[in-house]
Amino acid sequence: MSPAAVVVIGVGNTGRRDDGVGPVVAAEVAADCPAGVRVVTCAVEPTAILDAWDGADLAVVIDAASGEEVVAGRVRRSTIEEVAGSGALTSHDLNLAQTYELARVLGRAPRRVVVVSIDAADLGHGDGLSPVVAQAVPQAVAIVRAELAADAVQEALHQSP
Amino acid sequence: MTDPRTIRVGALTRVEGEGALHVELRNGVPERVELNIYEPPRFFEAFLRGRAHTEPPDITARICGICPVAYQTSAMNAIEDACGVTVDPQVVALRRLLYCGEWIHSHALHIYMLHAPDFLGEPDVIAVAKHHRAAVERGLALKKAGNRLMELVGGRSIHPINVRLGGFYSVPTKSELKPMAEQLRAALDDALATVAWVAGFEFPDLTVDHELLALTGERYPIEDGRIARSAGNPFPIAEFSDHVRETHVPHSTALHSTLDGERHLTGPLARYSLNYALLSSVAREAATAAGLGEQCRNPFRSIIVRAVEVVYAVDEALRIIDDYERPARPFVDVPARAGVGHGVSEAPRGLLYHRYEIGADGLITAAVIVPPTAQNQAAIEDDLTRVVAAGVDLDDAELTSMCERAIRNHDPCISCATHFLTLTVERR
Repeated sequence: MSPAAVVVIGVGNTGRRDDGVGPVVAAEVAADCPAGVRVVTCAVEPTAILDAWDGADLAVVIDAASGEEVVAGRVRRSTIEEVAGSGALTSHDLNLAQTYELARVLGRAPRRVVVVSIDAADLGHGDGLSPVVAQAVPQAVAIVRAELAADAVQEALHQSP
Repeated sequence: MTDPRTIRVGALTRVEGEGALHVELRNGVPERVELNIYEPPRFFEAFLRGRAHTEPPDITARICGICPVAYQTSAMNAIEDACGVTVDPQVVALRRLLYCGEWIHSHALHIYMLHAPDFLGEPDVIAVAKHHRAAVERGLALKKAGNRLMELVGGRSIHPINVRLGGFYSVPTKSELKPMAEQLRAALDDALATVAWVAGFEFPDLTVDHELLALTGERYPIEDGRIARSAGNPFPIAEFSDHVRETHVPHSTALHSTLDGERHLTGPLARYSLNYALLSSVAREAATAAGLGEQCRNPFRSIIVRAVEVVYAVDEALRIIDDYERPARPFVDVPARAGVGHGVSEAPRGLLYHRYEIGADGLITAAVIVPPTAQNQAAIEDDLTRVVAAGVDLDDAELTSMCERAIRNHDPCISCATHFLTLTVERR
């Protein structure tokens, strides 16, 4: 598969309630998005993400956020640099920031990565989003679409083969 | 260096799960070495009770995101045993093919991302990539080949969804497997290069005398087999719980195990040492070229053994694809009947045993799951005792590093056994 100039990546597990918000937002974006934009969904798995954004000018990554300071349903736009520095490698796989750092070292990082995060309310087992996170989906979709509509992105899309 | 002294490490990285290590030294002699797994018990065996006999493959797969196929396979073997059902040999071959994908993905992950940094003096794979970019790219390509194989046969690489009791929901055609064979031929070159790469590392001296426990069979054991061990007499799978006894120790929420009352080791070292003759010629030749004999009892060299097993798994996957004939039916029916069944398979980290009791209504009335990391806790603690005894003259940082390495040699999956280690060393 030839590289796309712009990639939208919905990250998460739809079997863990709000963790599936990334793929849900990505699916809505895919339903009506500019030609040349590739939309993919995957788990936080380094080889899948490295392949998804390899050679891209821009990658927009949509993911659920958890932690002590989350406000369920809050949508935030960040650069990858703002979400990096999350510490040591603590499990069998790499998190998003670590995957980006590995991609950077390997020369396989996109020129720009934007992260759209949605604070989760429920990461338990099961399908479907919690009501508060479901209500946040349109806002997240709008943020992704605004990124794709930016002049620089449109220029990259027109220059891509 | 003061005596007594305490060394604390807030987090042991590059293992899956949470726990702690406590080491007490008195007059330079290790007196107490405890691997403290404090992650809460997950109660899988309890909430399997009352579920339909068809459900354990999907439920137990959720125990681990790295080795779900192992849980699915041992569960299916046990339930099919209880129900007196034998599956089509081509379906068994597809299970083995799917399992090869899990071995390739899991071993490549451990070799390149978790274990290699120990031998290269680097904190993590990102630092390794700065100096060994081609090697890390090779590791990622291998892992990707394993993931792709799991997607092709299992429907997806994490928690495969195409697996069901009696076989699969759908099975690939021979032509659908052909592109996978092309990817695997490239992966075989990467796997051989991996063996040569890790064989060049420097390995601390350590020889362990744990009894070795693994499966064996007509082929190198993966999806099923019979018991093999290094010292005692082999026993039928149905007698597993009579020989491998689980006990609770105060310092761990994961049950410890003994084999006929003694500590034992399962996993790559045991599997390799008990089944060397069953390796394919390309894997055996790679092992010989890497300096491995017919047995390996140095846990630090387990990285070479895993690399040889990746060669085997890739080679074996190619053989299975070459021999593959699409089964007439993707699965056989497995009607429930009252009874007890036992199932085993070789997870990447070692022998995984499942036992189920099924009622006449088809509901599970009892379940026992004995994962490899739980079995290996006593062996890991013994390795640590030896490493600490041999390293008392090391400074705190060096000794702590050796302890962490001794644990990572076994690629422990603490989430499987019941997650992050905190290390405390007390010198008195």
